[in-house]
Amino acid sequence: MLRFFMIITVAALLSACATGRELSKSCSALTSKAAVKTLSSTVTVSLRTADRHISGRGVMLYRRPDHLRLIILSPFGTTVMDTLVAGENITIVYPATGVAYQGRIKDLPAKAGQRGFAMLRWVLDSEPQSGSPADGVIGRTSVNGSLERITLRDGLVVEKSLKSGELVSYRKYENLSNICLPMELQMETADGDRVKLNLEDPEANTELELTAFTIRLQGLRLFPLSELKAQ
Amino acid sequence: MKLLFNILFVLFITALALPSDARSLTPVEGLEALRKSFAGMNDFTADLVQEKRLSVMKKKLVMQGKIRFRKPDLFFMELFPPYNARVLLKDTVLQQRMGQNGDLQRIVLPSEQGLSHWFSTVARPVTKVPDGIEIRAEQAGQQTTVLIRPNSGGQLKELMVSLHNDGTVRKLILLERTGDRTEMNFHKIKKNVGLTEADFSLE
Repeated sequence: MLRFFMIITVAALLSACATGRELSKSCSALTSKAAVKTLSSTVTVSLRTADRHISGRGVMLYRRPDHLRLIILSPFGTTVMDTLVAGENITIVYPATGVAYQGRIKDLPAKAGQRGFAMLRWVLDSEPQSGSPADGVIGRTSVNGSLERITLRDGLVVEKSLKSGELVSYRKYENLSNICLPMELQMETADGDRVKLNLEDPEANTELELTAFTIRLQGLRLFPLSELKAQ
Repeated sequence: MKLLFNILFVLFITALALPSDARSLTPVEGLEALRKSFAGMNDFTADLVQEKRLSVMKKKLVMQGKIRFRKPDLFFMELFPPYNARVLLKDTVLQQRMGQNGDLQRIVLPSEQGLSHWFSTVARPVTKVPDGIEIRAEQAGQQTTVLIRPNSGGQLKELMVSLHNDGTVRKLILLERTGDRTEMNFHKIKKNVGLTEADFSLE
């Protein structure tokens, strides 16, 4: 589940200037769109697979270029899962059981994200090439060497897909201080797993200190990512 | 996580039912008072304001909603927009729906973590403070405060319950070791109002 959260979250952030199928007028009318440097927002996340459905509410922090934190909360407000991505490294903490997993993203077990790493790289490379049509569909070779298909509207990315079946779409855009933010993202894997992320009350480009991207590991049992199992 | 959820839930429910003759208590007397008060309660409703302060976020999250409980094993919580959520726990079956039109999530807890099991456990008379927790209770004016500190070094650093002398809980504070803090304030608390099955639905 973690990899989906990461990928969708990063997709939302890096595609913040993209447009969606449900583009609002206020957003489409923008002629000059600002870039996202930081973003903080409450979020709801939902994962649906063939055999389970998991959802929750939490908080997401992002600081360009490569710091991301996602905290999932219980209904009583306590932290269920705390995840930090900093560059190529990832830390996952489950406070209730007092365990933490740490390592490089590429070392996530296959079930937890080996393939997700490649997808993350793919999502990061979401900007259309110069000279791309304002509306339409283009194909190009992605960063991981696969053929990707990009759907554009008003010159920006609406949807990305890989021939292998992965798909990311961006919906319900809103204009947030000249930043077009997709308030809803949905990703489908080649296996049919579906993850939906909704932003709630986001704030962009406010000050976010690097200390917000540090997880305290004191008192936790620390394991390598290879020990990570589905939660 | 499920264990913590249940511990918090039981403390939460028993605190809501505390009787009106609050006084300075020893730890054992405090726990016993909670148990006895719960024994006299069949159901309750309350409005809820939940404030979440995360150490990583300057902005405070303020959520409003309502809760309902009915013996022996029904609990419902609804949070209003913009943080829509509905949670229903029926003994071992936890269901929740996040967002305006969120999908229904269903989790089945082990039987030993079900509500009926937990409440049958807390119904037993308290003769000593359970191992691994420290309890302090003090009274000031019309307010009694009970502080519970687990010694295990786990996620929860401190739980504080503030009760009015009318026997209702007014505030519940959860402090995590990370510094994250959740404060729940309760209003319009009504006990033994005759809640029915229809009051416990996610639809």
